[in-house]
Amino acid sequence: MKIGVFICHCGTNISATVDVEKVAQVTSKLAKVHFSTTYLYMCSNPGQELIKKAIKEKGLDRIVVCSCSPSLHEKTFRKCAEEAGINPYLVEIANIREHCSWVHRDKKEATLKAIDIVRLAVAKVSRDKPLVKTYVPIEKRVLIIGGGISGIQSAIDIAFAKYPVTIVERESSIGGRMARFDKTFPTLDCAACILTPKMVTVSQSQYVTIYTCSEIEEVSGHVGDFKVKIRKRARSVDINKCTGCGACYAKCPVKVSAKFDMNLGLRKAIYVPFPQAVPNVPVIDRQNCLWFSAKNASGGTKKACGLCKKICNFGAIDYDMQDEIIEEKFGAIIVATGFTQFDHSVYGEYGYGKYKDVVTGLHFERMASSSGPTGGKIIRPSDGKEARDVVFIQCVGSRDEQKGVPYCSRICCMYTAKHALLLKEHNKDAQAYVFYIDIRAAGKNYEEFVKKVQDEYGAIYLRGRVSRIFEKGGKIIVRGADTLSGAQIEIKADLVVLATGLIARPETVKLAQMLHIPYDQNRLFTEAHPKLAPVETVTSGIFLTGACQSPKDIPDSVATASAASVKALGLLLQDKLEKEPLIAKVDRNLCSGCRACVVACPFNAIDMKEIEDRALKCKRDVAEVVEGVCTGCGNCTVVCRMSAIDIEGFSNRQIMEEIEAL
Amino acid sequence: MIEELRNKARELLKTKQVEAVIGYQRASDGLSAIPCVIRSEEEAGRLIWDAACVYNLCGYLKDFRAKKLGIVAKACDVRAMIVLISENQLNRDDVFIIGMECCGVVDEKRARVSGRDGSDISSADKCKSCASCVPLAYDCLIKEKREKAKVSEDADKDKYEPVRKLEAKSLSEKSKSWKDEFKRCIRCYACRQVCPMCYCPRCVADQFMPVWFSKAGGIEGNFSWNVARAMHLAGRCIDCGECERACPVGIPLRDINRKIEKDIKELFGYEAGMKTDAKPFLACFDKNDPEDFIK
Repeated sequence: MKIGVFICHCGTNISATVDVEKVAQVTSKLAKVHFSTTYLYMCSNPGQELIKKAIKEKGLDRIVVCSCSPSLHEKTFRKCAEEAGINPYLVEIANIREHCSWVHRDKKEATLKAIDIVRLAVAKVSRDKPLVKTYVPIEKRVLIIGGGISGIQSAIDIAFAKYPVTIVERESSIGGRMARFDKTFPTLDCAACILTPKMVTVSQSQYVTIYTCSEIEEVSGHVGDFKVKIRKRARSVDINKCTGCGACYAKCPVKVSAKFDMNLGLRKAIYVPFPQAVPNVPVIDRQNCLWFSAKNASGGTKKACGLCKKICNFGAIDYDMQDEIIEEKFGAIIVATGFTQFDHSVYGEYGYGKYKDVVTGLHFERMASSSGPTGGKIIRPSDGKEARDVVFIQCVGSRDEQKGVPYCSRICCMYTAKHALLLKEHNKDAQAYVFYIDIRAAGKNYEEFVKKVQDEYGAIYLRGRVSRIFEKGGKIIVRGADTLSGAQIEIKADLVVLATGLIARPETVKLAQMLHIPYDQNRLFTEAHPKLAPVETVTSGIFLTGACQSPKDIPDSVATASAASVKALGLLLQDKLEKEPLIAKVDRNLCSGCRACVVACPFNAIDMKEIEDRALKCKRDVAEVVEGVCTGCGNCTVVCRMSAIDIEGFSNRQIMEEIEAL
Repeated sequence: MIEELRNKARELLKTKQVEAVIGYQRASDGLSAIPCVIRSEEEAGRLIWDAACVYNLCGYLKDFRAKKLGIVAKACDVRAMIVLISENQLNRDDVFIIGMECCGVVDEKRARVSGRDGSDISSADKCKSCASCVPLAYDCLIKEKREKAKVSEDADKDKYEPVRKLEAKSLSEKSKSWKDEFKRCIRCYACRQVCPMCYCPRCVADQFMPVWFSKAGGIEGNFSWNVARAMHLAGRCIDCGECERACPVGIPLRDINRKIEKDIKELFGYEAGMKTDAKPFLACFDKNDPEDFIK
């Protein structure tokens, strides 16, 4: 065995604190070390050439590079060693910069410590084994969970590259939150006008499959080969037969308040949520449908309705439809599950949600929409009269560690400004008052937009908190402080609009557990790196887009959607997936089959396999690592009492060798 | 009670429900009980049951893998079986548990000292802190005729009192006393062989690549072995006390086991072998786990 030790000065980063020449001199005398040298920048091209030359000329068979953290240049030196003809996994990095020179002042002591660090690396490299990269095949299809603007954009991008993609949407139509909006800031495009063409595009694409009324039931497998069970809830309308003529919901006698319209309007028991729904196929709300309630009523004495079935010329209504579970395979998954609104009923100062004329931004959107329940009139939900004085309150739930969430929801400043503008456009006599803490308008043309709303649309911005809201004489009295003037303010408002924050959906936890992706204390999915991997998750092959990762406006959602689809496409474009060989490996002779590793593995990467034990003359279970899934995190090795699992490249023998060298 | 047990064994063997019954028979000294394997109805008469039935017989189940067996089991033995089942070492369907209502077994070592009359035989230490005389799981239960609500009058008392006393000692005192104890260890591994939880195909103490700790009988190797043994039982030890009973040099191994048992119970509310569907303790993670020890 001929080990080469290459010590980097890193300019003066290392050499100012560590006597690199001395390290070279001492380590050259270590057993098995054949050659030791220093260089100014080992990672530079001349530095790498020096290593390659030494490997060839001195006949080195494994090397230790003493430089910075392996997270920075381990790959560089592995490649370098490979080019010089030795296995790239016979390379160890001794981190004498972050672990030594940067954290010490005394040169003498730092040099001694550096020598120790190198000694350990030499001990470890002597136990390194040549490893080969493994490859796993890829199922060339993408699953998108959530059919809002993020999911739709991702699907369009992936379909454009001619890869099959499936959208799973819980509601009966794709479109998500954006379908409910009226106009979009800061350009005031009509949300429907820019969203519905995209909805039509995905529905027409031969590469896109859309499952509406559907949810993810179970996810197993790993990158390149996810097996997903999808529950298609019974729609009661045959999607292939229905032409979307609308005769059924025209005739349906049941009227219930429409969730899509924030309960401001009514819909039928068989309905499409909005006119441009994709697919334009109604769904029966079985709880309110007379046919189902008659059927479920004891004795069945009530006369069943069945009008929709009678009226449908195409035989599309199917009362006996059952939930269906289908299983499909995907190579990558994009999570686009979006957000939900903060529930402001926890706030006593805003009336615990009991005043009808205290609404949320989403109510306002539906009222402002010309196809909405009020036909575009901003009204007071209590009496239906047009609202004149409207108070907007920002940061409801956001930036409140006590009752809400600690983060800023990012979009509320902008949508409130938009609402103030829309209010004036819908009613010239109206007056908007906005209570704010700070205006956060960091986006292209955002600040200008807020300024325009204040200057041209006369919205009165008041910096301060609202202390109390109460009803008096048919008006909503809003009491608050204007902290800039120091004055107490009381406004007799017709309508109060709360800019409720964006929060994660409560069901995200279940989904995260199915997908094995982490989420933070606010239940928002966690990206692999906040700066350098914002749409990736730590589980390879699963990507994030939109507000399920953090509150985002439409431009950001679309941008992350495209980013996520590029990442997914990048995966799909590979013939097969290259996997680092630094993963867990089971020694079957040592494994007792106790399953502790199966429980401990956060990636579901360990299966049990039955083997024939010749010594015990019986069949027994042993652990088996699924190579494509294992990330080499090492949880399994920790719980294994038998030491039957090793991480390649960090094996027990290597670690013990290091300990003994110390 | 004994007759009931023998009849049950006969019935199980006759109806071929099991291939054999593992139980206790009288030793040649006429007093103590030793394990026996009953394979036919005729042999069933050898079975006995009394306070001398100290041993935990679960270890033998491992030697009869994939065979249908009957086993005579006390409450503590059944706890061991529950752990073995949760660790995939035992198939519940493969064992027929003849549960024995138990009023505590004797302290074998002290019984030997006090002679054969049995008059002042006290019950084993493990029984003094045991509160359950009925096993958690069984296929049939053989009831104790004697009237006794629980194994021990002391069961309601703080069962970890002896552990707390040890904890109260200073670090140097503890270090010294354990070094003195482990110095005597002869590395016979009786504690391992007798332990129902020690089933690894090759124990870390016997591994060569790497050598985890010295195999020689020095204090370092002894210390490492005893600590490794205790750590490998963390969250799994059901306090059957067999290791301490088997130790030929009298190291108080139960004290170590129980210290870990107590910490796990107090920190995580987990007790080994008390729930049939529990996951292995060290392999589980819960968001509410205390983490104030991370500084």
